[in-house]
Amino acid sequence: VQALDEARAAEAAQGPPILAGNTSITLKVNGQDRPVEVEPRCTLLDTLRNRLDVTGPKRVCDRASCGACTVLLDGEPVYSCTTLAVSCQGHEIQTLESFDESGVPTAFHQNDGLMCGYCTPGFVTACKAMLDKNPNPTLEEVRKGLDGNICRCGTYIGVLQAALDAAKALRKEA
Amino acid sequence: MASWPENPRLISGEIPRVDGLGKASGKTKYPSDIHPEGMLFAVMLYSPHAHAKIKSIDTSKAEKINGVRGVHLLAKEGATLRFQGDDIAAVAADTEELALDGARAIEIEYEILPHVATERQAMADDAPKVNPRGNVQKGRAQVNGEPDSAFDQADAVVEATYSVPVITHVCLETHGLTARWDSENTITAWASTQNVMGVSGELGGAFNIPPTNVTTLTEVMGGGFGSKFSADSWGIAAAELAKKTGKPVRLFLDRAQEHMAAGNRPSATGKVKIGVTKDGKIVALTADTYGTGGIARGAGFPLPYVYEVPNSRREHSDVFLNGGNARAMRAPGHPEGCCLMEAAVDDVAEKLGIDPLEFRLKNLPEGDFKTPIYQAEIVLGAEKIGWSERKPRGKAEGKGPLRIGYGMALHTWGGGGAQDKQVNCIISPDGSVELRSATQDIGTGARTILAIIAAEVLGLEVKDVYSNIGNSTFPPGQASGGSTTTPSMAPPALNAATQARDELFKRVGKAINEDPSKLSLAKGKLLVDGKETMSFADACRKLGMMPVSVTAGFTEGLSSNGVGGCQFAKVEVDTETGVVRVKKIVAVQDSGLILDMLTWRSQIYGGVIGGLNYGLFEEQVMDPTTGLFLNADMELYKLAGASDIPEIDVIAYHTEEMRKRGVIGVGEPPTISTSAAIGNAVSNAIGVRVPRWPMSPMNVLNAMTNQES
Repeated sequence: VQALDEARAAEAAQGPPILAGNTSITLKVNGQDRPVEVEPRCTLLDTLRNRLDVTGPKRVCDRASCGACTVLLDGEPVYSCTTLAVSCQGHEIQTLESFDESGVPTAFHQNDGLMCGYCTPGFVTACKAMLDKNPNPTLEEVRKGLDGNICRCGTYIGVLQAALDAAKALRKEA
Repeated sequence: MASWPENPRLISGEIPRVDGLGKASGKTKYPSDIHPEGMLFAVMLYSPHAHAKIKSIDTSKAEKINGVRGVHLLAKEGATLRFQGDDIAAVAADTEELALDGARAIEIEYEILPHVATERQAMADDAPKVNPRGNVQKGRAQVNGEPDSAFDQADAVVEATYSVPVITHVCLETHGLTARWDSENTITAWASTQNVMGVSGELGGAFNIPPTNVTTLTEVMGGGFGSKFSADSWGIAAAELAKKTGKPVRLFLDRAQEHMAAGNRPSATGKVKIGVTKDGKIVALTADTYGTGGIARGAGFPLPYVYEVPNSRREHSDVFLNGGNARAMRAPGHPEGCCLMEAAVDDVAEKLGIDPLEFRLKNLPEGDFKTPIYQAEIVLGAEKIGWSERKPRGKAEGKGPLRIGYGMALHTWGGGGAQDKQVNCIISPDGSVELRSATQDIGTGARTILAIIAAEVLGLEVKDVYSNIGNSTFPPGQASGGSTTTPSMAPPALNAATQARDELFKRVGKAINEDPSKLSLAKGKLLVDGKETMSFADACRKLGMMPVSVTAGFTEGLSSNGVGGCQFAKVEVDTETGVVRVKKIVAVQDSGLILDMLTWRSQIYGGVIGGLNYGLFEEQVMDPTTGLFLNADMELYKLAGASDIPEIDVIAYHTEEMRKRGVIGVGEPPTISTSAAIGNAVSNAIGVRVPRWPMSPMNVLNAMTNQES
């Protein structure tokens, strides 16, 4: 009980935690250091889109349900709509604008794995992340790898085809 | 007069969309990505209540927040909010976070009013009135023949109630626009719309400036499905805030308001009675139907549907309740009518003991031009799904608790075009070719179609043509609705490209001293008497300073109207859990001359997957107690993911006869009958009709339980 009381007293002496107001951070986006003013509550997605004009990732559900905001954080796909920007300092952030166009994006284009295209950045990013880990996926693995993303136009057949085609092309290249 | 080429080089090929790589690389800017210099971010404040009156509203605290630049009220003191999500205010600030702070700081005192959030509540005798003329508004009965006496001739009669729920469009890019005042009476609006001209017209009207002073730009947009024809209250609010603050303002809805306020497909419930003779002919159908479009009317739908029904009576009521207003949604009315009709047709065929496929063939309208199309399509589809494997209802087979079932359904749609649209084709002296029209690409490939047509005519590759659309200041183009874009825009594109080519021949012929009739274009070259003489670009240089610019319109014979189409579903139902897995869909579709087979097929896949969502997952859930929309998100509002997608076989019914019809739109038809076919397959699998869509575990198990008791 005494330790707890001491900790509370120390906290009170420090004053309330600062949760609002601007803070300067630097994010490493697509290989570039990007200084940016954010509030602690700013999501990585909104920081990229609204403050750094990196608009490839899209805001759709804003609650980690649909995957349109997917970016790579140190190579791992994350929902940037539910990741705080301040937590991303010191990490590599990669959005699809930095991907080799001749890889996954071209496979989506050639297989018409997109229509309105608003979900496409998320699918392309998730697909890239999947193929980085598993260059030779089965159809079932492709489905599982892309189950974190939702498309409303219904382009899934082209998407599955694109993922398998991209895998094939990347293996040939390697 | 131009006609479609007999042996096209590009048309009907498999051509990737011209804007596909930009979209797939994240580089294309959507209206919601646009960020003009000095732009403010705006958010909406909307009703948290199903039905309430604003007793007082105070924006002073919001306006005092550092960084909040403007507050615009859409609902003032005394206004009634009619549903959760109804507009209250828009707030613009330096950042989106501050705009949200501003919206939260608006103080409102509400008088909560009694609500009706479900059809059952709205239709109760003592229900509070949503509409002053009553919550249930019955239309005039539509009567054909002598329905009551005709039932005397029937050998089998089925009477049942079927229903489909309200669903929402779920456009992935929410509704909204970015507005900038370029002078005191001109606006640029980057809008997520399927109707650039309409948005300009509405913004012009709202600010009393000519529509031509409003440039609406939509290079690409993130889905509309019928819900994005308007500038909308929030679009006008963005322009108001831009005017007030002197800065560009971006305002796009959040996901919840998108669900609640930006449109939905109405529900439909029908008590249907159908009578047939033993030889399998429908003699009569009566239907009492209702549906709700929330606070709006528009819950009507076609019934009877597709089949020949000599005697019928249809009575329909629109039900009003405290929900967001319906908007057109991909094939308005047809999926609802198709589900109800096809369920009744299946059930009565079952009762009579006739194969439902044979039964359908017997009841196609005699003398209708679509009947032979349906007949041919049914044969193709039945073969592909393996209809001969189908067991009669109640005799389905499968491992353990699993049962395999087969179902089918037919649909129809117009898909003809408008005749008053134009395309401008510009061939410049540097050899570039540009097409301009104030239409837009909603994701269907409209931009690509236009480029294909011009490239075909000019002997170029598709990449050589710049298809410049999504700009309201260009020659009048079609709004993207009703599957009308391609049939409206393809004829003027063909005419413009053909007339521009002829003008090019005339002027180049003069420059090189050759008769224009000897000139032709192929493989990027100019030919004289069939012999390659110079590149297309060199030929264009002969134009001197003056480009060729031709604006052309519609001519008869290049497009047509009216399609059939049928779909088959194979499903596997777990009779213990009620989970339905769709194993396979076969979609057979005609749509006249197909311009791009690749994007056409994508349209069919997309339609089928939309129908699969409607058949298995989607449903707006309203809470009767609070009147709130419980699943206004993308977690509990269910949509298919990659693992839910079955094998889909698309068969283009693209015979010589179909190609001769000219172009017909295909956006809506393939989404109509999927859910009906899935419903029929489920009943075939489990031996009992599931009368409520979606085919969710709850609805499936309920149907099985009701059967047992």
